[in-house]
Amino acid sequence: MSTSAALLRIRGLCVDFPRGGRVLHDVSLDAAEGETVGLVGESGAGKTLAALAILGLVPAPGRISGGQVFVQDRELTKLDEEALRPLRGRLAGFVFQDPSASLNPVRRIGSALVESAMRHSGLTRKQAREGAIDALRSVELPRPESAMRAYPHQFSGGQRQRIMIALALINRPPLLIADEPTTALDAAVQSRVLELLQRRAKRHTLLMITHDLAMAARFCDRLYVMHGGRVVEHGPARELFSKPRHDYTRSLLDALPGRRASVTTHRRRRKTPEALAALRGLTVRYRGARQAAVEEVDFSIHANETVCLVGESGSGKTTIARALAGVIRVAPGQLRFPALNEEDPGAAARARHLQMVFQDPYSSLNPRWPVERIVAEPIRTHRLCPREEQKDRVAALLSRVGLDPGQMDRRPAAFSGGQRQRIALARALAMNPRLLLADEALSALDIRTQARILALLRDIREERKLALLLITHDLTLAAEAGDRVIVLRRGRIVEQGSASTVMTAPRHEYTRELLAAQARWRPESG
Amino acid sequence: MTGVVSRLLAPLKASPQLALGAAALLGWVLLLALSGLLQTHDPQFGDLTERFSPAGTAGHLLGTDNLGRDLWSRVLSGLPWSVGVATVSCVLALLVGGTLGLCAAQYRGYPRTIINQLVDATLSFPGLVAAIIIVAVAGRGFWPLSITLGLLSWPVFARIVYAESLRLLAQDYVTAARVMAVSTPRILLGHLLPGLRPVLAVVLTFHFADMLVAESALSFLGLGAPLGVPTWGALLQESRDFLIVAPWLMVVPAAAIALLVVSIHLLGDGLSALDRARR
Repeated sequence: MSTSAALLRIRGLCVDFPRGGRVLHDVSLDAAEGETVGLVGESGAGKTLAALAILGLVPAPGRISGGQVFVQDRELTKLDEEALRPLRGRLAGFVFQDPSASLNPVRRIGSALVESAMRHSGLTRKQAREGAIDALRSVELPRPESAMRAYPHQFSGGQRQRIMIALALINRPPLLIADEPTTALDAAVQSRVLELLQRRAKRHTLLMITHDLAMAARFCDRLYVMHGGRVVEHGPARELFSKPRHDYTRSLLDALPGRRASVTTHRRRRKTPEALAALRGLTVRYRGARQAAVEEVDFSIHANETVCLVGESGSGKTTIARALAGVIRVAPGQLRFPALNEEDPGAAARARHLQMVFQDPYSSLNPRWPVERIVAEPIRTHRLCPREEQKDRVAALLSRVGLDPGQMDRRPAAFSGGQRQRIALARALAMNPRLLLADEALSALDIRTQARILALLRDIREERKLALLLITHDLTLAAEAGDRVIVLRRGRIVEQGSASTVMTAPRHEYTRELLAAQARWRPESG
Repeated sequence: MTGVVSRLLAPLKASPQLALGAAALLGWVLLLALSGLLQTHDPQFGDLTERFSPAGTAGHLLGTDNLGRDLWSRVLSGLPWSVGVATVSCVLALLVGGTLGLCAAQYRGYPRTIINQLVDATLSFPGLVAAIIIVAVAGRGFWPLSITLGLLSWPVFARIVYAESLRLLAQDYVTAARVMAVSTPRILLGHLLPGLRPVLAVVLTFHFADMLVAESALSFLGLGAPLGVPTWGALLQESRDFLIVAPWLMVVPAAAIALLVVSIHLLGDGLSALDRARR
C-alpha cells in the first residue's frame, strides 16, 4: 500500500492517562481513499480511544503524548483545540454504538441535521434543509420530509442508526468513523445497516470499529487487530482471517461460534420420561398491549438437555423466561413442573427447582454487597446450611465457577463482566436447581469470554445433570450449544427441532432469513 | 481500636469536601452541646446602659440589642430550638414520605394511585398558608411547629423514594432475589434501603437546611416559637425595627443561618461525591 495516497495516516500514536499510565502504545494505521478499514479487538483494547484521538477528542485527563495523525496530509496533532474544532465535522463523521444515546431526544431530527449543515458549510437555512432531506434520502429512510419533523423516539433502532449516518455524512467528510455501529441492533437490522454503510463507503473512507471479527472480515478491505492498546497484527482482511500470524488473532478466531474447538457433547441423549418444566399454550399479554407478548407456546424441558430459545428482541424470549421463573404470573395450567409432583408449587419449591442467570452482569449483582453476601443470599434465605458452613459453601461454589474464593469480600465493581457472570452462576447454583435459565447470559460478553463461560455451563450441566434453557438472539451460538433449538417470532414458535436440523434444513422462512442475515457477514466457517 | 478509627476516617481523607463539612458539623454539635456554658450573659435580661452596643464591643462580641441583651448569648440560646425544629420535622417528613413512597413503588394499583394523588394534593397546597392555618388552630410551640413543617414537607421524600425505588426494583438483582423466592420485606430491607441511603443522605441535608429556613420564616412571621424564645427567625423579626441603627442585629442571626446551611450542604455534597466514588 502506498502511504502517499492515504487519506488517514496515524504514526506511532501514544495516549497517556495521568493515573492509568500509557493506554495506547505506538499505534500506526493507514486508510486509503475509498477504503474500508476495520479496527478489531475486545472491549478495552483501545479501539475507540484510537478513533477519538484522530480528531483530538481524547477524554480528559488523558492526552496524546506522542505520534502524529494526518488527514488529507494535514497534521492534526499539531493543531490546538481552536484550530481543530471547525475541522472536525468537515474532515470526519462519527457514528456511535448506541443511536438512542447519541441523538438528542428533545430535538427534531431535522433541526439537528440542519444545524450541523449550517455550522460547517455556511449554507442558508433553506439550502441546509434541502441538504438534510437529501442526506436522509441517501440513507434510505422512508419519507424523509416527514422524518425531518419527527423526534428520535419515533424511529426504530435501525432507523435511528441510519439517521446517525445521515448526520455524520451531511457535511460530506472524506472520513467516516463508525464505532460498533450495529452492535446494539438485531441480526436482520444489522445486516441492512451494514449494507447501507457499505454502499455509502464507496464514496468515503470508512474506519470501522468492531469486536466482531467475523463481520469485520467480510466487511472491510483491511483489518487492524488491537490488543492491550497496541496493534498486534494488520493486513488484508481475507488473508488475516485465513492465515492469522499473531497468537491473539488466532485465539479470537478460535472463539467464534461454530469454529470453537469442539467440546465433546453427546447430542443423542435418552430423554428422561418426566419433564422438568412444561409449557402448554402459554399466553402472556401485558396490560395495555395490543398484541400478546407470547402466544400459545408449547414446549417442555427435560433433565440433561440444553434447549435454546432463539429470536430477535421483542420475540418473547425474555417473557417466557420470566414466566418460567415466576416473575410474571400466568394463567393456571399453562405452565407446569411435572417433576415437582405438585399442582401448584410454592415460590420456595419453584426457586429450588429452577434458577436464572441474567443478561446484564452489571445490574444482576447488587453493587453494594460483597460477593460472599451475594452468593450466600439464596443459602441464607432458604437456610440451606448451618451458618458456620456458609462461608465454606460460598468458597466451594466460587471455585467451581473458576473464581478465587479469596476474593469473596470484594464488591462486584472489582470484577470484569465475565467474572460477574461467573458470580451470578455461582449464586444460581447455590440453590442446587435442576433447571437453569440463561437469559442472553452470554451476549454482553466479548467473544473469548463467551466461549469460556459456555464451556463452563456445559461442564456444570454434565456434572449436575441439569437442564439448561439458553436464551439467545444468536442462531449460530444456539446451534453450537443446544441439543434442541426453538425459534420464536412475535411471541410464537415458528420452528423447533434438533440443533443440526434447524441449522442445515430450516423449514420456516423466518429461520432461513435469520440464518441468511447472520451468515451474510460471517465468513464460511472453516 | 485504631483500625476502627482509621476506617471511619478513610472517607474523610478521600473527600476534602466531606472532611470540611464534617468538621463544620462537629463545630455546630459542640456549640449545641455547650450552648448553656458558652453564653456569657443572660439571653433574656439586658443592661439598658449598654443598649445598641455594636458588634466588637468589649464584653459583647456580637453586640447588644435595643434592651442591651447580649446577641452572642441570644443566638446561642436560640440554636437548640432552631436545630430541634429542623431535626424533628426532617425525621417526620422522612418517616411519612419514605414509607409512603416505598409503598407506592412496591404495591401497584390502588395504593400507588392513592399515594400519588395524596402527594399531588399536598404539594398543591401553598405551604406557608397551610402552616399559618395549622399554627393558628394548634397554637404556637415546639411540637406544633415541628409537626406542621414535617407534615407539609413529606411529599419531597415520597417523590424521591418512589422514583428511586422504582429504578432499584427494576434492577436485575431484585428480580434475581424474587426468582430465589426471597421475601418482599427482605428485599426491601436488604436491597432497597441500602440503595436508597445515598440519595436520602443528600436530600436529607438539603431538606434540613430548608426546614431551618422555614422555621426562621415562620418565627419571623410570628407563627413559630412562643414569645420570648430567641430563635433565629425571631431574632430576625426583632431586628427589622432597628435595621438602620443596629444592622448587626440582622446580620448576625442571618449569618448564623447561612453558616449552618452551608455546613450541612457541604456535608451533603461530600456524601454524594463519596457515593459516586464508591461505585
